Amino acid sequence: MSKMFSKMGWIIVAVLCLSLVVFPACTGDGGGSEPIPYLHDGQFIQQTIGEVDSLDPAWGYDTASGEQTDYIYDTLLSYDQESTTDFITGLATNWTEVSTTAMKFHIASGITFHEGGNLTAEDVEYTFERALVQDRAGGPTWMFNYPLLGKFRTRSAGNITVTGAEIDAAVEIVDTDWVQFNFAFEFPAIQWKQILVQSWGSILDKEWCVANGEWDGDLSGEGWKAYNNPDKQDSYLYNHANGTGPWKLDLWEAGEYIRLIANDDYWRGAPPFDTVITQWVDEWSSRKLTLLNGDADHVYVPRAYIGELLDIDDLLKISALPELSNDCLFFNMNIDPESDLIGSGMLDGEGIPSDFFTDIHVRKGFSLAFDYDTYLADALLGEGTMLGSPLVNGLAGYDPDLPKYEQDLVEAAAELDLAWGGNLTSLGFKFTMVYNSGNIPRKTACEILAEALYSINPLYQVSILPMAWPTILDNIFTETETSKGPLPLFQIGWIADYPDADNFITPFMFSEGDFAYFQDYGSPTVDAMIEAARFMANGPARDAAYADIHNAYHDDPGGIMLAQPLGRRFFTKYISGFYFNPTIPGTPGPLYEMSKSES
Amino acid sequence: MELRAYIARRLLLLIPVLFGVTVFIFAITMFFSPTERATLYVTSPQGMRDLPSIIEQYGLDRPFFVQYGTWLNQVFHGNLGWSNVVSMPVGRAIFHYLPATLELAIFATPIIILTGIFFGSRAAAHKDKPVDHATRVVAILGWSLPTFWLGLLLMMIFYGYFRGLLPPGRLSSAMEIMVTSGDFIRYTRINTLDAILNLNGPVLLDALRHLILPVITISTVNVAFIMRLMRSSMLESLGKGYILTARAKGVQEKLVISKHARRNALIPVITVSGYLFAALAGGAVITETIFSFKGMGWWASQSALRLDISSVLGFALFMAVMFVLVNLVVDILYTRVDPRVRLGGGVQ
Repeated sequence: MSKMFSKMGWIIVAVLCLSLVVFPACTGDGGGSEPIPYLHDGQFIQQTIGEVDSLDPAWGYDTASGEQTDYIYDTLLSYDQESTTDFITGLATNWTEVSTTAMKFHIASGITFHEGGNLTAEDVEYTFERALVQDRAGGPTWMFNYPLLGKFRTRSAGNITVTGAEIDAAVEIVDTDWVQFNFAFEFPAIQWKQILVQSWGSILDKEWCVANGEWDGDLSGEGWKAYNNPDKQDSYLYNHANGTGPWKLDLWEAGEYIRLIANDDYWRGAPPFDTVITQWVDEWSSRKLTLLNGDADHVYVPRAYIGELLDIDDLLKISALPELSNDCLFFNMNIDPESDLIGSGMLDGEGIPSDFFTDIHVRKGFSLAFDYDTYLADALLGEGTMLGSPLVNGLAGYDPDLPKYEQDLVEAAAELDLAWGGNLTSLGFKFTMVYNSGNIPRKTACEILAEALYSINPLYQVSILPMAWPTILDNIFTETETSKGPLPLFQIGWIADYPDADNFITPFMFSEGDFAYFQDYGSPTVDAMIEAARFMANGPARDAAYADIHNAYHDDPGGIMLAQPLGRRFFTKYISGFYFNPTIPGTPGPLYEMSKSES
Repeated sequence: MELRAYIARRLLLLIPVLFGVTVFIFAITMFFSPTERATLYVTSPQGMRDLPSIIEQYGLDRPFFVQYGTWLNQVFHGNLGWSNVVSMPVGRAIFHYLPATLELAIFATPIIILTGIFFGSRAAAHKDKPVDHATRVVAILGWSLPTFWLGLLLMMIFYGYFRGLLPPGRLSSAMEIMVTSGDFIRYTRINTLDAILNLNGPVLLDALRHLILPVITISTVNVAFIMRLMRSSMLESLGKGYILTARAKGVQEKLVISKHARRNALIPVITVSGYLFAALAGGAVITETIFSFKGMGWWASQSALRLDISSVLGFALFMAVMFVLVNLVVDILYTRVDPRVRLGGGVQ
């Protein structure tokens, strides 16, 4: 009997376990149809990916660091809501252009840092001089260096190439509570303001910094050089913060979460959330369920998963947000002849020569072959804007009516027929394209191009290879004495440092630009056009100049411009006040102006 | 005395083991170019222009032995380097992430071992009977279930369908605030243990609530292995002459199984269990990632993906020490399970 019961018990337990798993799986949708409860009153909790690199404003050059810095610190001025060209006061109550090479800001009084210090003009001067002194490799300070010192970096071949006096002269206190920036050349005020408004323009408390072992503000001797290009951990500010912003750093558990608490004495008024928690959660399903359970107010949603949230009523869904970024398939005009990716290295049907893309008919043919509509539909799920040049929507000079390539296989075939003295059609070509493994949109772009070329002529054969991201970067940003890197085509994107057309045009088209240089692309004529447009005041003349630059890219394509993605945001329905300014780092938006309530 | 000498010998063995492991890992990382390794320090496309400067700053283009020597010198000065992926010293990262992993391992290991031993020995004792077949099916199922699938399924059911019942993470945000407040002392950062030491019931319950799914996920996969191992080991024992003798002498079957067969069958299980604990203490990458239970596995995988060499080396050192120590403990345990075993002197 007991044996019998034991067997029955086994069966019952097994059936119960199975039904526990199968029943909800068959009947439920993960709980998505239930109303999202209102939880964590007074807190804003978001789950995202991407860890903070550093809380030092002069160090952080990634979105996650910029976002937290924005919550903790203030800058001299802010954008006026959605605008990227109109400004409102911040820690500066007023500003004026002293001349075309100088601009000064009046520093507000009566504002205190979280640790109790009072904001003074000395703090502002110290902040920018410290950034120039520090100038860490790979950091954002080049945006200060270039206008203030006339060079992108303070070092060359490991040696410091600026003097303390130059740094001292670049930023100075004038008339007691004004801080003046002296440019190395004529620099447009709007671009300077666009640079200052970002997280790297956050104002530090000098006294607190010095007390905690930071540079002491002395530029007279050689001592300041010890603070140039430090290791991240050498700075107290990488994991400590003392700003004037709406939230104070409470706890940063690296890899897990960062928690900020309200600065109730905030000079603009107490912030809307007592606590702001950013949790880093890699797994999408976990983030999604946390949002649907009300345990998070906002989560980062990868494009591929947007569909899973579209039908959920209890969410605040915001769409079609033009991000200031783009993606491009760059042609390498001077491929390393030793590259394994170009087959025989000759135009014999078994490979391509290293200068394959110097023939403009090849580049135009490729640009006409690419199926932009399919890319938009498959890779971006319809959420993007096709581009004709590196300029993106939201920048002065962008004009959607300027010419852009569309797929035309007949014209593409005709262009390729003309390439390489008319020999390409009969010989064909073979080479390999790479994409960073795991990046589905980039893989899709490769497949679309490969299929289109094959459909034009079966002798046009492109293989596709996934590669680790560091390896791709290694292969892009490299050169030999006579050639650039081994990748025939490479795909990479650009995100705005500040919302100006030049920040997009120079990397792509200026012959010394970040990408153009490693493509061997560019011409003195176009360089001159870019330099002329760079410092023009926004207006019709500048728009016309950028229209000419756009057309130059169209006529002599340096790459297949893919798209400017349109962003989406998902919050629980309890959140309100969001507006979109593409320069605000992170996805939650203008948190100080947002709120959360059950009603 | 003999035991002490044996332990000392085994600990001394750590030196060549650690040296070999680090040289090997360092050598592997040298297959990546300086630029590839320098990308760890660059967080935006714009920073790429500074790669040569970064390579120079960190000496990434120096010869292998120079780079290794620099690292070793640093280690001798008590500094395991900097973990860039989590922005903290490697030594601190180990102590930061180990508690979460240990908590998982401490809860999962006994479940895995005891369940495996119980069902494995039952299956062997009832060879070719329904219990044996059922156990085999469960073992095959458990062994073949992909961890990510099981983890996601469990989370969708117990956090999605049963709204908020068993959430991911280590603690809810309210409890997280409580444990990081001044009133709660984090002695070990093992939440359950700290909650007990602080006599804090809500934190203990919350921590347990967060532990259930990851522990089930890890256990389901691993218990199958122990179960099969125990079954085969037990069957081998049951076929031995002394079992036949015991049965012939009229010893009760229960005693034959529990005292004679099971005890001898435990030796291979103890060996594997030791390694299992060490492996779990090294982190369960997928489980930790799915349930946001950030521990050693998560840290190590992120470090490897981003070529954070200091972190990878620190993790490797930790694992090597862990395995040597576990091996030692297992050897000592043998002497308790099997009195014939003498440490350093082989089997009597």
